[in-house]
Amino acid sequence: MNAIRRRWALRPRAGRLERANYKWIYLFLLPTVIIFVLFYAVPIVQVFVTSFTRWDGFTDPEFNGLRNYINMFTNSAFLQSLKNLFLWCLVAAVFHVGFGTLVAFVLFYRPRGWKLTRAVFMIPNVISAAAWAMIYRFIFNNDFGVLNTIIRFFDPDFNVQWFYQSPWAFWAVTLTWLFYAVIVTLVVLGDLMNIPSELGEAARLDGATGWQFIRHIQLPLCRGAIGTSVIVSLTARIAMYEQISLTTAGGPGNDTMSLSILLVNGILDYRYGYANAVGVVMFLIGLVILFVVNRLFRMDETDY
Amino acid sequence: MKKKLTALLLACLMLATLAACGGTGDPVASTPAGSDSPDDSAGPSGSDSPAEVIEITIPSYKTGENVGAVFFEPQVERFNELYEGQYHITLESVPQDGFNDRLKQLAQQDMLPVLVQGGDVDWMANIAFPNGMAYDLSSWLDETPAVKDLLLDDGLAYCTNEDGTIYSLPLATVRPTGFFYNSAMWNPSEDLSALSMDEFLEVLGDQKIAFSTAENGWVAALFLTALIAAEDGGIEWLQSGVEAKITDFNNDIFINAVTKLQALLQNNAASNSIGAAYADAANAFMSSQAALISNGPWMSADFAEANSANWRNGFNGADVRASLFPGQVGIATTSCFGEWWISASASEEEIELALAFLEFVYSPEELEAYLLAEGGDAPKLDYSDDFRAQQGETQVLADLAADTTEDTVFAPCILDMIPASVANSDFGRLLPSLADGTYSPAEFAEWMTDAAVAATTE
Repeated sequence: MNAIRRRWALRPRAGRLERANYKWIYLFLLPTVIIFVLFYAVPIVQVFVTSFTRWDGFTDPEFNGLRNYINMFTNSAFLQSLKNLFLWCLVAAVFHVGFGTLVAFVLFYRPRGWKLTRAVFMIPNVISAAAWAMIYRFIFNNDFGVLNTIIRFFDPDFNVQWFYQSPWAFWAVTLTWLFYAVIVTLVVLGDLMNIPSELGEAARLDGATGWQFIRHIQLPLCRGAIGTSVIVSLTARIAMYEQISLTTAGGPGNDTMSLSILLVNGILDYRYGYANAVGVVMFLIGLVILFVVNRLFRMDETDY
Repeated sequence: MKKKLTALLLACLMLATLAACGGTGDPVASTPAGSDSPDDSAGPSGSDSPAEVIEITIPSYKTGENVGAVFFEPQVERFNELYEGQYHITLESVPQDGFNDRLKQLAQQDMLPVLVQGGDVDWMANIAFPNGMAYDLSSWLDETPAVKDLLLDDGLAYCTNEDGTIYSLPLATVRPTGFFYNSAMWNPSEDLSALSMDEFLEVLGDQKIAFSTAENGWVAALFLTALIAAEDGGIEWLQSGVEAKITDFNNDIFINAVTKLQALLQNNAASNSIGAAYADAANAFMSSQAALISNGPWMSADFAEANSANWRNGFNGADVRASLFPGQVGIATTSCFGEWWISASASEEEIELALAFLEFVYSPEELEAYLLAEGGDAPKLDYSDDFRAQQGETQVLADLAADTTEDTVFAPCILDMIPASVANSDFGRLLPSLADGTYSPAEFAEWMTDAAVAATTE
């Protein structure tokens, strides 16, 4: 409390001219505030409120306490989807962001063939997730898919239905998004390009090797960008729908079940209250991720 | 002062621009729901000028490349020609996959079209009809015996509410689903529908069946329905889902049927069956990779010479024959809603048009044309000689017509008898695990029960 008071006291008092401009500042903020309230705040509050109701989406919601949450947490599909989400988040944070960062360094240092790398990496990223899901259905097809055709050169009897057999389905779905990390690359590349060249010169004078320069100077200075990439990647895993719906629909069994699939199933059964309870859990997980990554990457601290 | 005024004007302009972005750009969209909403009417509604043509727009999935468009689009054209200068119907093309969702969206906006082509059955029964979204057809039916006398008894009983109101126009036709087989690959001498299921499976031997196990597992679900119907008490068990969705699958009827389905998936399924969508199953059949496929009579259009571009590996549509399932079982739901209902918010003129269209669709000529195009039977219609002569021209439709007798047993498809999310998602999701033996039939039943209970627990 004292710290807040001190910080407040340290703020310079606004001048007369600045105070006179406040009304114009507020006026120009008004459209943004209206949009935020109408299209973000109100729906979020509605989702929270109706998650405690029995609601078919058409008639008036009836308050049913924690029933939707109890049903949710006793549903094996929900528990499996939480487990899947945790695993996908781990894979995304380590491999997806790692791969995107690696490509950012390749594009930054421009080794021989970097333009080809850029083209090969960027072009698939402009294809929608839904289209990729369909393409992967062909790639992983047991009869004529590229993958199994290649494997059968070495093992003619090889037969795996990648999207429809445990435990392969989980990894097959993972591959539909794992290497498409263009956002990570662009964000990290932006930070890399902003590192002052004097730092590099000073490091060279001090005898730092290339790897030491990357490890002790560039990577720490890209901390904010990498943290942002982790947040973007993890929240994308929470909302991931097309890649699952168009390939495994959550199967086989519940192997690739996700919260988004459960939410849509709730709507299919006119259980909007339950669907919104799933939505609340997705929202809260997103907030937790935001908080944890912010703390881990110390994103509120400046580097320069 | 000038600066302040300019800034104020700029702020107002920004607000106005944002408000305009949020609008539909359609001046009609903001009018009250009902007669003049954009989806209801593409032209004048005529209350002030009755001499003008009454026009409505119907969202429909039976358009474009949809298999139902072959008959439906010309039918609407015939109606427009018959009532030229009086009524006009325009079709709005909506993909079949999103059609039910589109109707729900329109209903939420109170912008239902005047004539509504079906919709999600659960939504109609539990939301749309109880909430006064539909026009009561009972008086019109009483005044129009030409239509009422053709309606299926089961359908009429199902669609009639306790207070006598009728919202969905009951069906006059039934299209029992059986299976098609390629006689160039498999040509049994037996009357297949007269066999028992066990005899049929013996005759089938190691012939390949095209199954779909992705999406909602439609083709596998049809076979499973036939297997359930062949069990003692199976048809009654399936029909119990008409009143309340089935949520308990832990019984011998279901488990025995699933055991047989598992054997078929493991021994007789075409090589692409695991993970196959309906289109993949149809491709397997029409490329001679499978000798059998189960589907409704509407598939007969795929075997016409006009569609020979889709045939592969020497497949010839002329070789295809059709049969109902063993035990003379035809998969059809007669206790169900019909295809059409009318929005309660339509104007009198629009309702007049809608009723004229329904009377037209249920006229003997149109019903016969429909049966010739898509197969099926209208039990209460006296067929014309022309119709009987033409029906024999399409081999598979003639086969099904010959199999459909007074002894035919109608069984509702299992997907219609279970909760929507289980039918659309859970059932298909578990079929691959049943096929590869990961789940036993008993575990499959248990899993289905859990999913159905979870889908219906509030």
